[in-house]
Formats: sequence, structure tokens, C-alpha cells
Amino acid sequence: MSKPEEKKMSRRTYLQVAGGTVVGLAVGGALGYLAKPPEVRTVISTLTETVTVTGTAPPPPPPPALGKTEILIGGTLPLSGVAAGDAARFQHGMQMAVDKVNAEGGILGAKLKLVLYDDGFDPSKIASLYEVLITKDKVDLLVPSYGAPMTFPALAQAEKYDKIMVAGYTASQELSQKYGGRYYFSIDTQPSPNYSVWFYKGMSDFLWDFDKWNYKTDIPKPTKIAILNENQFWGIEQHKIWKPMVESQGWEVVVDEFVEMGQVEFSDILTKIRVNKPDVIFVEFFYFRAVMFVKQMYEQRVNANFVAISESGTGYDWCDPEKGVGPGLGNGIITFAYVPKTYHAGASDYLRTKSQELYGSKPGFLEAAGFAQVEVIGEAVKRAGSVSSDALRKTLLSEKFDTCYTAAKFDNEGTNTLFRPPVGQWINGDIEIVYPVDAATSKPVYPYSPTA
Amino acid sequence: MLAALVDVAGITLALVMLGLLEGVIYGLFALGLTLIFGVAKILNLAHGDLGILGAYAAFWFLVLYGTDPLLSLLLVLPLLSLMGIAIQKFAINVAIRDPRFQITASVMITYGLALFISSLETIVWGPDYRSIGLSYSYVGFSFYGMTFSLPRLITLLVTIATAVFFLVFLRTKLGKAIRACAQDREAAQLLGINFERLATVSFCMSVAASGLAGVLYVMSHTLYPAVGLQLTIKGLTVMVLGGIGSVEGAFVGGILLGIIEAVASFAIGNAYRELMSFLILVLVLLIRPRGLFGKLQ
Repeated sequence: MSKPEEKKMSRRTYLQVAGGTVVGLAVGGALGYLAKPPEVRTVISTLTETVTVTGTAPPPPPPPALGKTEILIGGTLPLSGVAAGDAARFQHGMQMAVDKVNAEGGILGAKLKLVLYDDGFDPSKIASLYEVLITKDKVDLLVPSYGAPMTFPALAQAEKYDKIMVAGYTASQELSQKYGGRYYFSIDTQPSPNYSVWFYKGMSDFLWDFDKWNYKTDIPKPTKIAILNENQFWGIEQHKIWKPMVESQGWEVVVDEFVEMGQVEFSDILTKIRVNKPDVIFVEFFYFRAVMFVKQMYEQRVNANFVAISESGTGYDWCDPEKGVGPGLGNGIITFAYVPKTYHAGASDYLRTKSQELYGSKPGFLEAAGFAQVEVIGEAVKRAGSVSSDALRKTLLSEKFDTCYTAAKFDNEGTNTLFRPPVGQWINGDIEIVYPVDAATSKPVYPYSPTA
Repeated sequence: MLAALVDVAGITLALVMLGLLEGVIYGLFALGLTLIFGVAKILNLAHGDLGILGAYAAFWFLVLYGTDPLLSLLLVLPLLSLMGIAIQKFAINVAIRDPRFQITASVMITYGLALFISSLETIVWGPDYRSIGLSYSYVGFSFYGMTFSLPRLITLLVTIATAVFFLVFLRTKLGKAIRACAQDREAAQLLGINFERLATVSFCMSVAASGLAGVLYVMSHTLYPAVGLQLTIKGLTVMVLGGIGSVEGAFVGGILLGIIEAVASFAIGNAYRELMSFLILVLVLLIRPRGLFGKLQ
């Protein structure tokens, strides 16, 4: 059987189709122009008129002082995976700061812009992502991902390509010793003889000073403590310093446990706590894990006189019955840096208001940390008058900065010598400062009660 | 001395109870995995994620309509079963056409499916941790100073009922046909058993079991998109420990794993929790490679 003849388009048909298409596009374009808002039509008309009448383009704007129109701030965050909720808060804080700076005219004529990639909380992805940020995206400065294990590989790239990283929330002695002051500047670390990270220092000051501020004479001074840490760089490091410090004060460490990265079940640790009856339960976990832990504490009715939740319990969705600890909220004690009640420069008001407006909640420490690192970056570039690493380094090492939660002056290891964290406590659904006594907004409430 | 012994006994019993309550969830997740692998040699790496999808559905029904998760099972299980049929028809059947590459193909396809479901969950429900607050979430029963919440006890009872159901079902005509396919696919086909249809039924039941496990999981645990793969790994561990293809093995293996984790964590340290589980698994496989209840081929 013969195949049917293939129909070919005749020349005439082709010309008809092509002509119709051109006419259709012209009509569509005209209709589209008429449908545009009047101000756009005015702009188009004005430009056309200007070109037609004067024959020359309008004068170009003066070049920005930095020689560029955008300052790119590059980094990665675990926007998917187990830490995605925390990363989102961090990102919100950074974006609010970028929006604020740009609304005020940018930095020396240049707008700030965030370039962020999702690292999925996987340290093996960090090096390649930061390489892309630096070599392909040509970012000017860096911000870290979430946590010290994620920051080490990033700083290796920063060193390779001579880029500066400013961190609002990453704490590790090893990071500072290796890269600090040259490539790494950390707002939330505090140098001390033992290099104890701020929340441990704040908590230890609070607990050691019990006799000074104790107002409930029937509760004896706490002497037994349960220490719970994340089993990674930061947790291990601080544990090495803090446990001996605690013991040197005459305290007994009755439970001493590390939790693994993927751990979500804590019944066995809670059993140990129940059996050993510590006066203080000190929990140093990532926010999402601290939430799970406190919920399970409540479910299994495990209590102590003080429940200290390091800095994790500062997000205001800590109170949320779905996302947070719900009725297990209680009056947990937290050492932390940022409290909406504290005042530190005008940026704090902006952060409080904007966070409520955009995200429907008060900002917590993660938002404040993200905000602060962009504040420091912007101010450093402005004062240096340049995005070159040498100029920025010099400025960061010599100048004092103000952020939404602390003043900052960096030593030659890039640690902030001015950071003095208060100790707060959740009381009646809000965070009150309970220590130092002269800065307190409320007396501490103890013993711990899950429904306070 | 006696008081100390009583103390130790009491703590041990309490830990066993804790391990049991956690282990039954593992067993439920393993049940579906072992069923479909035993029958159709399909290694479903999306198993945990499908269960968590059921958990999110239960979460939604509660938040939007105030429906108790146990009641929402009436809708979640049929929906997940239908999803299982669709996955079987359009994805898994592709894998099982050639028995020589069945396992490899099923691993690749289901891993992709796992990533897809996890990403979908992140988009729809967000990455934040979710938990449900029921009126009885914090109602508990004390035993030797330990408190066991009502949702966890309900999970135990539902799991026992599910185990009984499956043990009875596998003795029905359909159940026997499924067991025949698990023993020898070709011989079963020669006897007129429609393997593909039974593989679909098994996959459906497997996904429904996973959905049940997911709904029970969310009643007492925090929910987030990445937990699905973790639960799949737990399920696989239990499946191997209990014996591939064995329903009894899935439950016993799950409970055993839960108890080992609880006791090891308390006695040695939390860091050894997972280590001990895998150590026991390796020991069991060295001594009894087919698992605790697996049958010799």
C-alpha cells in the first residue's frame, strides 16, 4: 500500500500565516500598551519624546562611591532539612537588615543584596557552595551557615580567596583561633581566660551568684547539675571547658550526655535525669532539638529547680503550641543575647516592629543575629569606603560597632570584647531579664514549673 | 542491698516499658517494608516518607477540622492505599518487570519518590517542627516514678491489634496467596496466582501500614519533613533484625530494638544508643543470618 502523500505548505499559505502573525503581534502590542498603567505610558512617551526632540539621552547618574551598584553578601543556610526552621529565622533577620539599609539609601550608593544557597545542613556541600559564591557570584563578603561544623569548610574557602566573614551566631574557639581576626569576625563570642562561650558564662555567673540574689530561703543552693550537649564541634568544645569549670565550683555533674545530630527521642536521658535528681538541667541544643526535649520533659513529668535552655529558647515561637513547646513552656531559664524588651540602638525597634509586621511574631535571637551581622557588614563597608578585604579587615579590627543586640569591638582573634549577655527567663509567656540583678526586669521564678 | 536491687529492677522495668513503647512504632514501620519486600522483592525507600505524609494529613485534619488522629485514620488509610495503587501502577511495576534488576530499580525509584515527598512536605507544611496537642496528650500513667503518656499507650494497643490482624489475615485465602508469592513467585504464578495483582495488594497494605504508623507517630512525636528517611532506616534495620518477610519478626524486632536503645542509652550513654542497635544487628546476623524469625530459603 502506498503512503499517503505528505501535504506541504504552499508559498501562498506560508506568506498568509507569517503576515497574519506579524499583524497579530502589532495589534497585541498596541493593545498591551493601551492597557498599561498611565504612568508607564507617560514614561515611555517621555523617553520617546526626549529622544526625538533633543536627540540625546538624559545625563547618567553619578557613579557610586564604591564603583559598584550592589554589595553582594554571600552565604549558605540549611533552608531544607532538619534545621530549616532555624535557618528561616536567620534568613528573615538578614533580609530585614538588608531592606532597612537599602531603604535608607544603601551603602555609599550601593544596595545590599543577599546571595544565599541551601546547604541542606550537610557539611560536605559547604566548600563547593562557597566556592561558587566567591568565584561565580563574585560576592563581596560572606556570612556563615548554621553552626560551627558548617562554618569550618566555608572559612577554608574564605582563606583561599581572601574574603571576610562576619558571623552573628556561630561560636567556636577553634574557628576564632584558626581564622579569627583575618577572615572571621564573630559578634556573639566573648573572650575569657577559659574561652567559655557567652551562654555558659552567663549561666555560670547566674548560678554561682545564687546566694546574692536568692530570695526563696527554703530552696537550698543548687549543687547537682545535668549537662546535655550536642555532639558536634561547638558542643564538644564548650563541654570540655564548662564541665571542669562547673566541677571546680564544687558542683556535681550527675548526668553528662551528648545527643546525636539526628536524635529526636530523649526518654532514656530523661530517665537518667529522673533517677539522678539534678538541681539544674542545662540543655545546650539547637533550637529544634531543645523544643523536642522540653516537650518530652513535660510529657514525662521530669523537672528540676532550674531548667536552663542555653540560647535556644529565645524564639517567640517557643511558646507556640504547634511549633514550640506548648504547655511545657514553663519558666525555663535562658542565657541569650537578644530580648525585645532590651534596648540597644534604634535598630532594635525596627527589628521588633518589622518582625511583627512581616512574620507575625516578635524576633528571637536568631533573627537578631542575622540582623546584626548585616548591620556590621554594612557599617564596615561604609567606614572602610571599600569592599576590599584588607580595608574591611583594618576597619573591623579598629572600630566599634553597634548592633541590634550588642556593641561590638573585635580583638585580633575576631571575637567581640564588648558582648555581655544577660540571663533571662520565660515568665508568664514573655522573656524577662533576671540577671544581672541591676539590669533585671523581674525576679527569677523557681523552682521550674512547666505551666508557669 | 535489697532496696538497691529493687531500685535497679524498677528502673530496668521502666526502661523496658519505654523501649517497648518506642519499639512498637519501629515495628509498625518495619511491617510494611517487610511485607512488600518479602512478596515482591521491592525495597521501598519511600516507606517512611509515605507514613509521614499520613502523619501530616492527620495533623491537617486536626488543625483544620478538629478531627482526632485516630478518627482521621478512616480517611488517611484509604487515601494512602489509593496512592499506593498509583505508585505501584506507574512506578513500581516498571521495576518488577525484570526480576534480575528488581531490587536495584526499586531502590532508585523509591529513593527518588522519598525525596519528592519530603520536598513536597517542606513546601506544603514548611520546614518547621510540628506537633499536635490533643486533649489527652499529657494524660499519663505512672509506673515506678516514670510517666507514660496516653497517646503512647494507645499506640501500643493499636499496634497489638494490627499485629493480630495481620497474623489472622495471612491465614486467609488471600493471605496464603501472598505468602505463596513470597516463598516462590514463579511457582505461585504457575498455580494461577496473579502475581502483579497480589503485589499491588501487598503494596497497598504496606503503604496503609506505614500511614497507620505515621499517624500514631505524630500523636506522641514531633513532625518534620526529614524524619521520613530516618524512620525508613529504622524500619530497614528492624526488618533485617526480625527476618525479611516475617510479620512476627517485624514486631518483635522493633520492640527488641526499642528496648536495646533505651537500656544502652541509660546504662552506657546516649552516644552509644545507635551504636548498640547496630552492634546487636550485626551479632544477630552473624549468628542467624536470616534474622530472628526469617525462614531458610
